[in-house]
Amino acid sequence: MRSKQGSSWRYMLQLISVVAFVMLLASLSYPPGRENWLLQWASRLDPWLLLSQLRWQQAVPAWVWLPLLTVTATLLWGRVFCGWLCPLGAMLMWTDKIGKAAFKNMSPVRVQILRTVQPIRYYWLLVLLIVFALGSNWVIFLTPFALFSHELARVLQGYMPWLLIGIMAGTLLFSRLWCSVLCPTGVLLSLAARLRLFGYRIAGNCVYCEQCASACSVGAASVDTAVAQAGCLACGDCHRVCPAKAISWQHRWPSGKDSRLVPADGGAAAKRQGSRRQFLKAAGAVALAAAFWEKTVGAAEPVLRPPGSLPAPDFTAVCNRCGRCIQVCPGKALQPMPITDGLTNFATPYIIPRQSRCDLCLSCQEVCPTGAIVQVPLDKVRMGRAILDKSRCIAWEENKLCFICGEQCPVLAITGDEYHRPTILLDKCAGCGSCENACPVAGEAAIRVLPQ
Amino acid sequence: MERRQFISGLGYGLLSLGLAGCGLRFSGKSADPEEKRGATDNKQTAAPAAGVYDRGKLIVAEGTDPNSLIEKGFKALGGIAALVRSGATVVIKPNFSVPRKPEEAATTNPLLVAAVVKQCLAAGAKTVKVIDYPFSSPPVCLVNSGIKAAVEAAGGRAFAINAPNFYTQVDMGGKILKDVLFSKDVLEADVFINFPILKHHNATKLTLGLKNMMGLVWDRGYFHRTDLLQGIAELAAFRRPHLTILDATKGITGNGPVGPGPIRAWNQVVFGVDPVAVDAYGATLFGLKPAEIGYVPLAAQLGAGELELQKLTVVKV
Repeated sequence: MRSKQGSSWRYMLQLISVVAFVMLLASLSYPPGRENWLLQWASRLDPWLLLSQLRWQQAVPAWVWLPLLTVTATLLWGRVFCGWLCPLGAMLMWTDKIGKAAFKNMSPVRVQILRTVQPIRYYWLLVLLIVFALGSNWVIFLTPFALFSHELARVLQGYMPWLLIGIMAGTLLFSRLWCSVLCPTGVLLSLAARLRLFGYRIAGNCVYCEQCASACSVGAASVDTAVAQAGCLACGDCHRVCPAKAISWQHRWPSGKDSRLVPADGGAAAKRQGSRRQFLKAAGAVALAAAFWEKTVGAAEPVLRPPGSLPAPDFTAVCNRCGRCIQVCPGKALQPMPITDGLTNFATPYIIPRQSRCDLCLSCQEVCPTGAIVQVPLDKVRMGRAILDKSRCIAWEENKLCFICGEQCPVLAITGDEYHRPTILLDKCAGCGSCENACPVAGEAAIRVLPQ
Repeated sequence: MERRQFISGLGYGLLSLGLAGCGLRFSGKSADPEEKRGATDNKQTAAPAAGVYDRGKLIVAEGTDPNSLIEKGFKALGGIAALVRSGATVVIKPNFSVPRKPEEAATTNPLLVAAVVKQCLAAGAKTVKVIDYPFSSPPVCLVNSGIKAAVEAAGGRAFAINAPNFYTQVDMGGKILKDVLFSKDVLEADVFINFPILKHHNATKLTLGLKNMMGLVWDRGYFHRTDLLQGIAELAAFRRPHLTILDATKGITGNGPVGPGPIRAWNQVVFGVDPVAVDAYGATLFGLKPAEIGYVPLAAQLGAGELELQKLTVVKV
């Protein structure tokens, strides 16, 4: 992690990460194959996904070693995941570079803002953990693989990626505030990075020029502490800009014995005041979490969910809104729910059968990273149930030889009598919506599929 | 009107004269009113089946090897070169309407379709398109049916015509079918081959060639809303394929058209210029009388073809 060579390796890795992620997501299609497998593996590097699995499936997944790999790397070298591998991190790195070049004279302000905001990140982590523990995967939605998936899927479906645009605009002005304070994965890994073995530190003759501090995109370089703070992405920018070549990558423990380490300037009084403040902040965090939780876990309007989805309140809690099911759906039956349906529902997949039917190909089950869509065999799928309004059915009312619902039902859940008048066998109905979709009656179909 | 009729009749005559080696069996049937209307009202459409092969003949190829079934069939018809000229655009309409695998016998056998694609290309066809408008989404049907893989391996193009831009409005001049959105690809093709599978259908008893043509129409719901059987018959009278090949190697005998259902094997492939005759023969394989398949006699009444099998020559090869 020294010198120019290190950074060109990093740039290459980041570029591969972004390009691969975009290409894999764009090529995610029926039937899902290697691209899905790679996307799943990438997503599983995030320890939050492991927490989500433990929270909702109450079982240790076979891929547990993937997030543990990330954690181990963090314990050794700090946030290398964020600084070297994360595709969203890479996007924001470039955005930040552009921002730095565009607003050159704002540099001290940017550092100041980062430094001022940074202390709240562990309270933010507390908020996230509480929201998560209470039962909302909104936390996972904000993690890079889910968020970047979601935004890319939006672009691929022809929508504006407002969140990504917002985060990038913020990065232009405030450096990588997202990475250092707001990203759940970043904050979680920052916590782990406090224990890291290796890191950048001032070892030589520091000239106090503070160039390292203004070069650092996450506000982790500080002349005062001599050791890079936990938020350090191990990008080596501080090392490169140092005119005195005083910064080097070193073993961090034991850390003491450095004259520049923050002097214990305050006495017990300051400490007491500090802990009271801390308590107040923590209380604020809990209140915020409670408010947020209520907004994100409220009972959702019943709608048709993908085949194999968890039952109603759990589904919106577990779904991380990554949009991959929507992306893979061959019939474009899965749609993201709009924000107007509430934060609970926002961007979760649903089906409007009159517009598009579910083909029961079950690809969505394969691509779901969180287990919100469970791998349920076809004969156990119960998305909804069909009901027939005989008064509107042209076979019952007008003696037409129609029977299109029975003709197209993929699970043989509709039988016809001698006049081909349809009757629904509810125990067989998968709720895919083929009948409602095909019904030739104008306007609302005579046969409709209601959520289970 | 008479003069027009004469001119277009003359046109057809010349066309069939021009087509190599196959005699000019321009049967009196082509003078039926439905066909004439098609020919005169829609200039871009409505070339009815040019009488390339013997209209009064059904070729029944028997066996299990897809390639030899298709080869035998075309040979007995008089060679594919008569039908597919160099540079021709060929459209084949198999049935891949449902997301079933080949072994589930609810879609046209992909190896048979591929064999026809190969023959067409060998005869000098410029492009061979294999199309259907499936119930489920195109990727699922194209992949599961095996059609996409087999056709592409053979050098053809397989795709679903599941968007309005694949259709153009034509005046079918029928009792119920008037302005209908019909497949552009078929209208623009030099050679159109209908390639159904013989299988059970819970509303119309059987799916055969005439029923298979519904996959070339944008609004199928209209058929169901008005009169399904009459609609199928009028469609048959509007546009006859140059050749119908019925995949009767095996098919479901219940739970059709989607299946899965019990499967029966006949190990036959039926080739015929007369679409009604092919369907009539298919019905007998199911142990049914042709007249029992509602749309078959209706289509015969409209002059789309011959219902009485005894008036035809069935050649088994």
